[in-house]
Amino acid sequence: MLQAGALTAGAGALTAALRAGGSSASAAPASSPRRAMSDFHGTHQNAALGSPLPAAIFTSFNLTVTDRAGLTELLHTLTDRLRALTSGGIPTPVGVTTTDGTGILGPDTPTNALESILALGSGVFTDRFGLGAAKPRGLRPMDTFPNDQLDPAWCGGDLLLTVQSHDRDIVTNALREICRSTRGAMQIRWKQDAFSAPPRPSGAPRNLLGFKDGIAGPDTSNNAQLSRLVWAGAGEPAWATGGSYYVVRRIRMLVEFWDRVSTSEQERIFGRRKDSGAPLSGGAETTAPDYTNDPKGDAIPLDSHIRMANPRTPQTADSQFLRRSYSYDAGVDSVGNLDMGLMFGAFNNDLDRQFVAVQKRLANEPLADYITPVGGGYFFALPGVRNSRDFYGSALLA
Amino acid sequence: MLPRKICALAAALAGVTTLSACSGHGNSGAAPQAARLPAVQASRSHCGEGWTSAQAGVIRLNVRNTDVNAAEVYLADTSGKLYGEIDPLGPNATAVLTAQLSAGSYHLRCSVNDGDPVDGPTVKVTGTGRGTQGVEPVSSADLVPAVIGYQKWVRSRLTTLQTQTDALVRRLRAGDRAAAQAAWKTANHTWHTMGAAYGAFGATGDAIDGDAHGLALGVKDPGWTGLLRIEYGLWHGESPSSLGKLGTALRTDLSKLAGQLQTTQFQPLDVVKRAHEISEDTLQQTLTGNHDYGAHVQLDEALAELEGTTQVLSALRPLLAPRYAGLTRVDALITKSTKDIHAQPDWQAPASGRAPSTGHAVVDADIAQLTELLAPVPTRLEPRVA
Repeated sequence: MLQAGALTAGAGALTAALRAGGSSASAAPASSPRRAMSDFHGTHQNAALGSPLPAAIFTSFNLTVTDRAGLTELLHTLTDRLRALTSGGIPTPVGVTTTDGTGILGPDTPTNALESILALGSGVFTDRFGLGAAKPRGLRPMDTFPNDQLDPAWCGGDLLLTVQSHDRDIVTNALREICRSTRGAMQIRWKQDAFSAPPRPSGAPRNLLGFKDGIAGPDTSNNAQLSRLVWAGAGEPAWATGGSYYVVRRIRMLVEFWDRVSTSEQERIFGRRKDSGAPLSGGAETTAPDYTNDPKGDAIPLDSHIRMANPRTPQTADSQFLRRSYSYDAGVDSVGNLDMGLMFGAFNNDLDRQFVAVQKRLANEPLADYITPVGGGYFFALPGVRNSRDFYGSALLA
Repeated sequence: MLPRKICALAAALAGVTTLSACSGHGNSGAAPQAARLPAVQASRSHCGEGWTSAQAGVIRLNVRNTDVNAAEVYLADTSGKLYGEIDPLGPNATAVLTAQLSAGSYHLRCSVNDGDPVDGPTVKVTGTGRGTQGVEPVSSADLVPAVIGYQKWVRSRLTTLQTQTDALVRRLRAGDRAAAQAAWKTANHTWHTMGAAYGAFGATGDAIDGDAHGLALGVKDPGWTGLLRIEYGLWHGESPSSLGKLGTALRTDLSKLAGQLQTTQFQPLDVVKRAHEISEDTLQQTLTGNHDYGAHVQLDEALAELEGTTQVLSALRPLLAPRYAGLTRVDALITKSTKDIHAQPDWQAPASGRAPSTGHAVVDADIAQLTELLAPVPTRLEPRVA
């Protein structure tokens, strides 16, 4: 099928630095030019492709609508509101008919400053909505992996909305407006504010363990790779073509413990240099690790994170997925340690062939002592809203 | 300001991303554009001067009060329906009045110092842009029958509550915990129908149903009185007879309230706001368990509060029905909420930081949606001199 939307977005991401993106009033630091924002309309939810932005909110909702008509109305409302929030401009005056919007973006709101990703959990694909037979093939409640300590309150949900922007007020406003217009149809199950740091000093942003995160992955300007590794297609219900399996994991990082580990040990745990992001086999951040003449792991340990996750063999090439992760900061735990970590995000063509296979390979990796997955879920990012008359899930509910 | 809006709209309609003519507006702030808005006067003698024409769609007027007194400024059509307001606008102050108008005849209406409003010159709005709905204003006098009717109902509920409190006091003094708990639940339900949200009954109301959150010694504070204090005692092992004096104090406070309701009339604006404040209270105090001192009767309280909202709406209905088509959705949602609450077999407020149960989420969603649907009641019925 035609992939024009993906091509546009990919090219847009590449040329982001060349043109002024976004529209917010505050100036960005010179060191981090604002990338262009993806279009709201398209074959795909192109916001999935864009690099992480400074501010994001992950919100999981339980549906309280009970029938197909209610679900359809909800998805129409979400489309209308997210489209309008993305467009920006002067909110429609309400006169004295009701109360105004939040106002936190001022009277004239920034245009094209918001990106959003809307995804459904497996609980939606049931007979109450007449969707029992429409479930994407691999969608199910999130698996529990050997190193997980999952808190049910931080897991699952029927609908996941990720909003991201260069500015935190944009995403805060978006969530409040979305909740306001969908109050009776869904209830927040869990919510995590998240952020992405600017490049330090260049390349992929660093996670809270100090390592560059999300270096390897599909080339978002390469349609063939996106079709094979990101967008769902073959074997899925027809409506799901162009969507993507969206895995979100809330991974606590034991940062105090980590800071008491030497840099060289940390580097062996990851398989990369902490300062540059280069693989321990040499080169630069973008250099592919070389395992061919390192069979015993003298340069890059066999149990290092990057080697277990991606052994770079022909057999594992199609298990790569698109990582779109953020950092989170959620206060303090009961013994005075900081509760912070990673909102891991992954977009997959095939859940089991990609994320699940990689996660199984990572079981009991040395890094597992320093990180604890505590929540998240498997979701399916819907195909894109194609134009001003289309709505999220139109093919699903057709 | 209009071009920007039209661009966003055009982009959405065309399903395209950027119209070259519309790009580059991103960093334009509102301030420089305010300078280009029509400068319009508001005063007894020059109301509306400076506004002469407009295209249908979003209208923004830079209104300056050139009178010596504070004013309320409205944008009205020939039938008197309102499309926008600035309330208040102090002497010499300037503010932007924003409205969305379809083609038709409109004027500014200036009410200075709550005096008789003065109309500005008629302005013909032309074009095909869509407008928001106008609302016929309501005056304090219009609201008087609703206020009197509602207050009469509250007084009758209070009489019932006084009788129920007498029974509660007898059972406390008799030392019968189970009977006292039952009597407390009956009285508590009645109280929650009476719309005691947001300080509606002032200091007397606090004495009747104040919580322990703001007290220096919390639940041990000797100054804590009323229904919640008695609940705490009855469900935390205090002997019923030791709570007798609190029952007597409650009876005294209810008598005091009865006296106030005989001599003081509710403010019309308060009654209008109560239409949504009762449900706000249900969300913030009742369903959260914030006011649960042991009896776990949140669902019963939520039902009583729905009854209270129904009574306020019943009093306001003659004014509200012609002004708010959403009232039928409100009615349906109150019915649905009542049904959903009755369908919860076992239900507790979620522990702090924990996700609510499925049934809880259903009730939460019902009441939350109800608050949204009731938010337009005060904006439409707020008493105005217009």
